[in-house]
Amino acid sequence: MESVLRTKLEQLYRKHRQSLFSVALTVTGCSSMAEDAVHEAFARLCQKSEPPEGSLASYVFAAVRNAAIDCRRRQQHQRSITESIFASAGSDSHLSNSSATANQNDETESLKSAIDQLDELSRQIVVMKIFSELTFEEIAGVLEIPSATAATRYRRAIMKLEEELRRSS
Amino acid sequence: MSELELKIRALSLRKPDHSLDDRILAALRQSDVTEPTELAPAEKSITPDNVDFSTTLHTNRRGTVVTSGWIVASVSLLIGTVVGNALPSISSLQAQRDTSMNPDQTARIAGSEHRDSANGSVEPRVSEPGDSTLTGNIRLGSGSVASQIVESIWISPTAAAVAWEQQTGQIFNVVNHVSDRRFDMCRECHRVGG
Repeated sequence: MESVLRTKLEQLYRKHRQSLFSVALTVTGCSSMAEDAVHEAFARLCQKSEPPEGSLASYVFAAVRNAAIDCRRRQQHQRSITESIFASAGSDSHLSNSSATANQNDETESLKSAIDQLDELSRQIVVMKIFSELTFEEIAGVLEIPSATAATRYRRAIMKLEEELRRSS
Repeated sequence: MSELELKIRALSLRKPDHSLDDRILAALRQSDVTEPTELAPAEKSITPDNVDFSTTLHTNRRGTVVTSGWIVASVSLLIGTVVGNALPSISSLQAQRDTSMNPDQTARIAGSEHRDSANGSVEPRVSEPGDSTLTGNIRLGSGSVASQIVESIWISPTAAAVAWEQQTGQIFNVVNHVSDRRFDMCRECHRVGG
């Protein structure tokens, strides 16, 4: 049973590693702390013998988020930086090379900036919904909120981003 | 998915360091390997309580049925016999040496031996407060100390032999020990007349 769980955890990590890290990063604001949180969460998950009831993805995301919150609490006094969850400019090569227009690059940077300025919970929902394609029910399980609330927060975040893009353009 | 959602999806998330993959996968695989559990000291030692006499049956040339536990007990007895035979002789040699060095059989007081001085003459040394001293005669007679050691060595095999007898209902074979000088010492552990 344990080996089955570990295999599933490994598959899940390989599939969602980027989003898991991003969710942790939205909490900690520091990439090294986010990495520590992801590692800590998986180290704890390895000690489980039984798979959780319900969605394993939701469970793992929740574990990573909780570990990140723990890390943030421990390092509260050191928290002064807030790193973006996105890679630095120029790494979106598929955009800049194919249709390398200045406008598009500007729009990309504006979009990144707008997402970074969302509140923590909304950023987490956006990452889990768009990059990991979790259902609202799974997201609700991670954040311990009703799924309707998760859906509403997501819609509001998208609307806010659209508004920000319109304003910047 | 709306156009905006597609645009967001096209963005590149910040990537974690490669070392994170190593750490996570190592954690996942490390727990995959079942580490051998360290035996507790009580489990390591072979005692009559934990010797399994009924695991495997073997038949030797003489046709007697022995068990794997019996083999362990036999080896322990053999080692005990060798050590037990050797210790009294060592003790007697030591006793002779002690007698020759200390012919008056008096208590040996630490620090009271005569010591060679730098110029070769021998001068008596007076005991000093820091010196350790023996207040009594430690020579209890040759072999007495050795006997204590031998008895402690013999506890395990003899107890194993008794347990074996109880387990199998057979009589412990003491033929090899009858000629042993210390047979009397361990006789009480053997069945009388066995």
